[in-house]
Amino acid sequence: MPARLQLLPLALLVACGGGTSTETPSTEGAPSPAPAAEGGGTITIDGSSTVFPITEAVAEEYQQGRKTRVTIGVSGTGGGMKKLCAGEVLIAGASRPIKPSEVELCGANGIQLIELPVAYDGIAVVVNPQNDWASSMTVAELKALWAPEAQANVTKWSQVRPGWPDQEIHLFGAGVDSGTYDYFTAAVVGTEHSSRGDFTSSEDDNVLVQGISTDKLALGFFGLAYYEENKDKLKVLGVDDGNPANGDGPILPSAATVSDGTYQPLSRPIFLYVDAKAATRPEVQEFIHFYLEQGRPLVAEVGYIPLSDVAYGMVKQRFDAGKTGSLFEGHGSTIGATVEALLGKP
Amino acid sequence: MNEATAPRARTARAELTASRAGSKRLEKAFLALCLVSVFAPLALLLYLVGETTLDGLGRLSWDFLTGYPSRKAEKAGILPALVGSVYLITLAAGMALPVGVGAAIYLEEYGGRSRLARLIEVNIANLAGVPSVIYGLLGLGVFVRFLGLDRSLLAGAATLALLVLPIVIISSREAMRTVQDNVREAAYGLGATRWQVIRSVILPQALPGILTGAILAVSRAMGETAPLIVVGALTYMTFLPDGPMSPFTALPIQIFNWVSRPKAGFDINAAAGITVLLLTLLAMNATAIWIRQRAQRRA
Amino acid sequence: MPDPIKPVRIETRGLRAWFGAKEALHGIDMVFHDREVTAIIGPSGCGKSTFIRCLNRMHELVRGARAEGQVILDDVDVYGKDVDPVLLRRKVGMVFQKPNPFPTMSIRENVLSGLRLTGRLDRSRAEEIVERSLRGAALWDEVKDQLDKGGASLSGGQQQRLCIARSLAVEPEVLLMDEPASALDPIATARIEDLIHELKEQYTIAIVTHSMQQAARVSDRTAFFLMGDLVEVDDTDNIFTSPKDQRTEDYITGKFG
Repeated sequence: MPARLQLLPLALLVACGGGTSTETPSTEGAPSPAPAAEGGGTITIDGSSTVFPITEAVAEEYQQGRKTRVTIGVSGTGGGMKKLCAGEVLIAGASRPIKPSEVELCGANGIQLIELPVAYDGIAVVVNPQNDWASSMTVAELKALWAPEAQANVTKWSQVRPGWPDQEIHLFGAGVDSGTYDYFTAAVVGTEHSSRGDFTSSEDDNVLVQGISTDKLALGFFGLAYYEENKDKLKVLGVDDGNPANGDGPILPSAATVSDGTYQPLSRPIFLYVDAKAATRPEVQEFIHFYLEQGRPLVAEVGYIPLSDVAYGMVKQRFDAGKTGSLFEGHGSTIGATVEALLGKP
Repeated sequence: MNEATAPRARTARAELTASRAGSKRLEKAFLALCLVSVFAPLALLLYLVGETTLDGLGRLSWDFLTGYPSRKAEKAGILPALVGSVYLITLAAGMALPVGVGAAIYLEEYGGRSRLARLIEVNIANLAGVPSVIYGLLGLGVFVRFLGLDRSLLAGAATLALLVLPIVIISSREAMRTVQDNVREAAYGLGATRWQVIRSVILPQALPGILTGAILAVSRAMGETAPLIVVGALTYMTFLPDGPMSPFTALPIQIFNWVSRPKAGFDINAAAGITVLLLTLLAMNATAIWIRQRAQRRA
Repeated sequence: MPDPIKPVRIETRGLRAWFGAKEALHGIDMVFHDREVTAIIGPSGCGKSTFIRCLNRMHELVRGARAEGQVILDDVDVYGKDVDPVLLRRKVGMVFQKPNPFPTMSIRENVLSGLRLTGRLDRSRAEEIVERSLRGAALWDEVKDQLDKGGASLSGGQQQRLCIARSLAVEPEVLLMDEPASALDPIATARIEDLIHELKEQYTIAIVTHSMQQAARVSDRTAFFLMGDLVEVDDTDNIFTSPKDQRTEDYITGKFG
């Protein structure tokens, strides 16, 4: 036995040593030049979990019959931006516009970004199907309900709108680390990342669906795609932003009302950010063109709302022109704007 | 029995047959409590595993095991994640075991009570309680950026190795401590050097305990998601890792991704993925247990 | 009667030993004669075990323990700077109080362990060494058909003889025995004592024992230790019949201990 036991640590050392010696590490900061099997290159993408399903669908179709490899990581919008600005990936998906700090970081590393809106994401405000009193809410009511001051004060349906039952209201919301939460608070409360804290939150929207569908007194918000998939278990509320310019009265969320800009303020564009240097590589150009030209049905298939054909055309032009910088000038979301309106800005 | 001894016998009878009903009831209640604490968690676990397996059974097929990720739940497969996890765990164990056992040997057999040894000891105990994301950040800083390993399997495995190192060290030390001093003395008395004593007497006897630690370590590493995501594990890739410097993804990442998808059908994939994860874990642990059993049979 | 002209094999000069700050031996001067059995007796805690553990430098393996003074073995001070304690222990073997065969090894592996551990095993001679050592320890006939069984599966007395065989296999010249029979039943004890008689033909033996009867039965010379001091050392017959020191007499007559 001693002979055999003596070999054990040795074998482990060999296994471990073998791992380190096979390939020399690539230089730091180089945009992941992992060579593909037979040419074609690798397109490295990271970022938001909201954008992920769209990019995954596009990559899946794009790779049919092509040698180019597409890899996608999900480290969140912030994580993806950091990697993009460190030159570790070529493209980042983002569920919000770039922040000033990120613009600075990229600039410090000499990286310019091209901003490409690729789809809309709506946020649905939903209640239990047995809720027979509420069918819509105004933004003012939502604000009164979700603002930090509402904590422990607004606890009954009757406090939201006179005439609604004098019963407890049970709140559910997207996790506070999600882009959905950030956008909802910005649009409804008026301050990003600020809301009451006494609600059931989960990073997994399916948990929220489950919670609301079993609680008659529940009200919650999450990505529109999750409502679309669970229509039979939930009841969606119309939202009235009080601005007749984009539709009078409460508007129910749908592909049409989101993309024509009438479901306001709870719809927003989501983005790809592309490293401008990488945008000159043929495989990246081909991939982005594919994304913008053939992505439309895929966006809808995975539960999001595509831009209009006109808007996709404008985005493609922007990419081809290599136009860097942000439409939002690093100032966060412009609440409730359509992509056409944004791109059409002089 | 004469008349003189009769009263004493009566007393003895009374003493020996007195009712202990009270303490007996207590004993029974305690036993019941113990049984409940054993079976309640076990039943819950069985229920969870059973339910998950049943949910995922429909998706568990050769195509699922050998398929690549897809936006269509029924087409999506788990191969890159499965291969990635197996590579990760093998590499991580290959690094953590020699280093961890080595550290344990130093602390247990050489370090004595020196200030350095005690400092290391306290730190290891603390490291065991550090949240795994912190290890991810450390891995990102040291392996990915400083050592230039990029977002590679090797960087991920090194991070996991670091994460489980305290487990390996602590359990190896425990195992070595169970080797009795008189066995050590016997070896020294035969003119063995310290290294010879460690290698031929202490390690063989400690092997079962060390392997138990390895099982715990592998199980822990297998389920970790957060540090891998920080280090840069992918969620979507349509090729297999082809070496330690290759990009990678892992089972828990794929499962997490499926769980949180809005589209129906992905929840079934997640359940099937969990079953694959459990089976992989089971297979790896069975190997370690088999080695342990062989080692113990010699003892 | 012991042969008075047997040469001195080991001599200690001013040997002192400590556990941490506690001094366990206060300067021992004593000799061991070649191929004789020297018994060391005394009450618990008198330093008798510490003393023989100083002879092959096992004492210093205990955390915080140290020794001072000289132990002369064949004209060499074993505490000299250039002496390797590892090599010393190959020459001065030791048998412990509690039988301690290696639990992961078979009987055969246990016998050969000293040679194998230290990388000195000549494989072609292995079988011969196993038989010679086990015969030397009077265990061969009992285990010759089960050499591959685990060493820990033997009875306590057999285990102790296996440990003696293990010590013999490395061909020491001196054997130190630290209460080798104290954990054994009377029959096993008798076998060990018989064995000691045979072994002294070839080895210089020091045996620590708490049993005066055992000392009287097996040894040529006997030393009486008390509280870290050597009180008296003499031919065993003299110690037990006409001790010179009152304390020795009190101890062997059972007045304390």
